[in-house]
Amino acid sequence: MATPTDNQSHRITALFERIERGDVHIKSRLRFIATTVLFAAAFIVALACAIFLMSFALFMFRMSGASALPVFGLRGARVLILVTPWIIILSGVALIAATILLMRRIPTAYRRPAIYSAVAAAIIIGALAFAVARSPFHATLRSRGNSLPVLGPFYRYQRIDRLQGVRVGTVVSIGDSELTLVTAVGEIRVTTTAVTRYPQDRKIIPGDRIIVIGEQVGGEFRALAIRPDDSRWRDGYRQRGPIDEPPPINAHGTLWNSVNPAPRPHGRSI
Amino acid sequence: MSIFDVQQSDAAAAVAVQHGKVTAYHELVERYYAPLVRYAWRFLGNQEDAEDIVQNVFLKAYANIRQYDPHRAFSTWIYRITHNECVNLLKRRHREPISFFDPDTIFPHPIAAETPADQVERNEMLDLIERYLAALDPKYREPVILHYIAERSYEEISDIMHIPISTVGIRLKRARDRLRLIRAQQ
Repeated sequence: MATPTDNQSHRITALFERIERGDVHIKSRLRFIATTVLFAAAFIVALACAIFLMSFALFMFRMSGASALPVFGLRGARVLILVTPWIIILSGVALIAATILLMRRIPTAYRRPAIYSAVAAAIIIGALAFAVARSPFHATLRSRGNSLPVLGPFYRYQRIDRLQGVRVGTVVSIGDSELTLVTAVGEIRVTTTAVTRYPQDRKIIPGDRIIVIGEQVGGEFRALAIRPDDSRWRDGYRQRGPIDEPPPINAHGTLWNSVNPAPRPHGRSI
Repeated sequence: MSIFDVQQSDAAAAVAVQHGKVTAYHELVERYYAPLVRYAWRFLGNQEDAEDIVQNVFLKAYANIRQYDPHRAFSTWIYRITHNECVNLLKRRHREPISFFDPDTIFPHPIAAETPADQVERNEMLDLIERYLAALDPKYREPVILHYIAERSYEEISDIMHIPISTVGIRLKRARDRLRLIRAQQ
């Protein structure tokens, strides 16, 4: 290696004079350990918050009934946009980005392209968020209602059947161009037309629980598309306000639930 | 002394400094002062700035010597500190070398693995560097300096600049092409 020049030798001498004078001191190892611990803690907190928020978004998405909307295609898209918890998702994405930035401080991460870190983070956080969303974790927190500090109000989400253009209920009867549903707000009549789209893989019969997307015209609700509601949103039946609404009843006056389903009446199908 | 011997010697000296033996720091300063000045000068384009930067580098390295891990190469650690000081100086003078979102570091690049450059290519590059280095963008200039002048490997450059190894390769390739283009145009 090259040796310092004369000028540089003067500078080296000045450097050691400053060290011996005490202008600079060696920092303790504890300081660096504390910094490392701090970064590790920040990483864990960011990761945990990202998993919590993404699992929370998945939970809200499922409990609102919106998980059934994609089958409606573009018709369901508008409703989907309205019920999607965008703030929660964007906050989760921001935390995922923070997690990736913290991760890129270690050689294993920065020696490889950033896209690898991003994909790994997305897969790990996505998988854990999905697992947490399916576990009883959020349902347990939700059951504490408003008594849950800070988070309580966030567990009040909007059911899709409270939105304009969506009806969810149990089919009571089917007529020529109409069907009758029992919904959470009572019995309604739904009109079907030539443009109404039906499920292609099965027929709708009385007793089926369905989602209808359409428009309210005067006193009738015109169906644009009908799909069976196979989601288990009943398990997390959620509403605004302190009082639980009773589950909807079918035409035979018995409670509809997954444990004790009402017997299917024989009748027309669509 | 082989590279391995140098690394062993560096690590031993650094550990001695960590235990308060200031005299051991002389060995490290003597060994790395001139190479770091050369690196900083080539990167910043100014001798005075380079000397000031390296002075600060060794003061910082001394203050933070207990952060150094003896299982890793001391040269990489001290070059990393120098890189940070040079980049900070450029940022203070509003001449930021690399944007925060650099596509080079985000996506992988299919390039050939690092191979020892033959002497002919090396001589050609040193000649091009001597004449046209200042015309290169800082983000291409730095890996060229580290590889051809400081003789750092792709992995070491990755550790110094905290960029992917494939990015080091692609920047060196683009730098070589650009230097040859500049030569052809003149």
